[in-house]
Amino acid sequence: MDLTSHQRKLLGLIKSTYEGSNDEDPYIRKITRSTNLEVIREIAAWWRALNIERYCVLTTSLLKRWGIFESAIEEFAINQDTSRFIERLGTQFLEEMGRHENHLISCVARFELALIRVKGGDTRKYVIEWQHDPNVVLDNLLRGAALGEAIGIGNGHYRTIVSNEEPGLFRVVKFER
Amino acid sequence: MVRTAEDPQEPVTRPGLAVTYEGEGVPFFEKVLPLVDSVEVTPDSVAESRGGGAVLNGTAMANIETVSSKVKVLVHGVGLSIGSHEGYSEQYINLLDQFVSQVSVHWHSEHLGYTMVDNENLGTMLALPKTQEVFDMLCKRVSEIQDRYDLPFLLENVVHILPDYQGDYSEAEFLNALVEKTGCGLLLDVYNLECDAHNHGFDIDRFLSELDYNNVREIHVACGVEHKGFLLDIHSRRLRDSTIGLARRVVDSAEGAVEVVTYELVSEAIPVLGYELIADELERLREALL
Repeated sequence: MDLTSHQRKLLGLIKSTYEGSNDEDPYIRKITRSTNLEVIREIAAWWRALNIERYCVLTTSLLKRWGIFESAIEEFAINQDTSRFIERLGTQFLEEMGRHENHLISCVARFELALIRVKGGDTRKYVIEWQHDPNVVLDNLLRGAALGEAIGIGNGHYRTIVSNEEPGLFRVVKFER
Repeated sequence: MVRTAEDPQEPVTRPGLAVTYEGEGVPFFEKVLPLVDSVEVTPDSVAESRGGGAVLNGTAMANIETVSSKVKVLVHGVGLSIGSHEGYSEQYINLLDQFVSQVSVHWHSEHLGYTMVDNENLGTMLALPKTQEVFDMLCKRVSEIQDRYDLPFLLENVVHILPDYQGDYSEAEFLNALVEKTGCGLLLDVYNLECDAHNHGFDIDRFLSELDYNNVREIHVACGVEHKGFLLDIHSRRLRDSTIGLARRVVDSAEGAVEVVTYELVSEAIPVLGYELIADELERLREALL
C-alpha cells in the first residue's frame, strides 16, 4: 500500500468514516477492530475535549450538566476538520453548537462566542434572543448550580446585547412580543 | 554540555539538562531555570490562531527572549507533520520563521511522524511506515528544511500506539539511514522506547545494539499514563527509575555525543506537578547523569 492510501485509510478509521473490515490490506483489517484504534480515538477525543473545555466554559458547562458533552464532541469531530489551535477549535465548536436544535444550547453557544469575540477586540454588536432568562441561566452555569426549575419553562422573551460599548461587555433586555 | 574530570587524563563529556518551557514567568525563572542548561520550546504551544493564520503569543515570546539570555533555547516542533503524504505544514514553517527571527535557537527538532492527512487534523500523532517510499520522501524534506534554516535539525522517534506497519527497515536501520543520507541529528526519546516495549514487545536491547549513537544529540525523558493496558506518551508524571536508567545507558554508550537530556512535560501537567517537584526531578536527573 502506498503512503497516501495508508494515511487516508487511517484517517478514515480514526474519524469513523471508513469501515476497514473488508479492506484488501491485512494491516488495515487488523487495525479496524483493535483496542489500539480505540485508544488512538480516545487520545484524540481527550485532547479535543480538554481544549474545548478550556475555551468554551459556559457551553461545556451546560452540555455536561445535561450529560451530552461527550456525544456532542464526538459528533463535532466526525463532521468537522477540527483545528489543532484552541482558538480555532473553540470557535468551530461554538459555531456548531450555535446551530444546535435545542434553543438554550444554541443561545448559550452564540452568546459565549459573541463575548469571546468582543473581548478579543471585535467592534460589532451581537444580539441574541433567548426564551429563558439569561441572567439566571448564566449565573447558574457559572456557579455550577442545577438548571432545572430555576430557569423556568422557557417561554419568556429576552435579548442579550454583546458589544464593547456595554459596561461589562453585555446587557440583558426583557421585552414583550 | 558539561565537562567533568573524574580522570584528569581523560575528561568525560556529560550532557546538559533541559526542560519543556512554554513562556511561563517568575516562578519558573526562580525555581527551574537555575537548574537547567537549556529550555525546549514548542512553537505550536506558544502560538495562537489569528485571522486564519498562527502567530506567536507576545507575552510568552517576551519571556522566552528573557530566558534566551541565560540558557540555550532548543526548538521542538509538533506541528510540522513531516510525514504527511501531501507535504509538511507551511503553517508550522511560518511559525518557525517567526520564532527564529525573534530568538537565538541552538537547534530545532521534530517528530518522525504525522498529525495531518490531506490537511485534516488527525487529533493525534502517528508513526510512519518504514518503507523506501517514506524514506525517500523524508530525505528530500529534511534537506529542504536544512537548506531553509542555518541550524542543526534533529528527528525524534515517536511512540507507536498502532502496531508497526511492515516496512523495508527496522526502527534503528531507518534512523541510521536517515542520518547517514541527510546529516540530520537524532533526538532519542527513551520513554517512547519503553512505551513501545510495553505496548508491542519492542526489543529495546536489539534496537540499541543496531543504533548508530554518533548522531544522538539529545535525549527525551518523560513519564505518561497507562490506559487500557497501553502506556501513553501524555507527559504528565514524575520520571520512572527505568527511564532515567535507560537515558544513562544511552549517554554512556554515545560517549559524548549526547549534548542535552530534556525532561518533557505537557503544559497541563505543570500546575499539577508544581515547580518544586519539577525541580526535584531535574536534581534527580542531574545526579543520575553526571
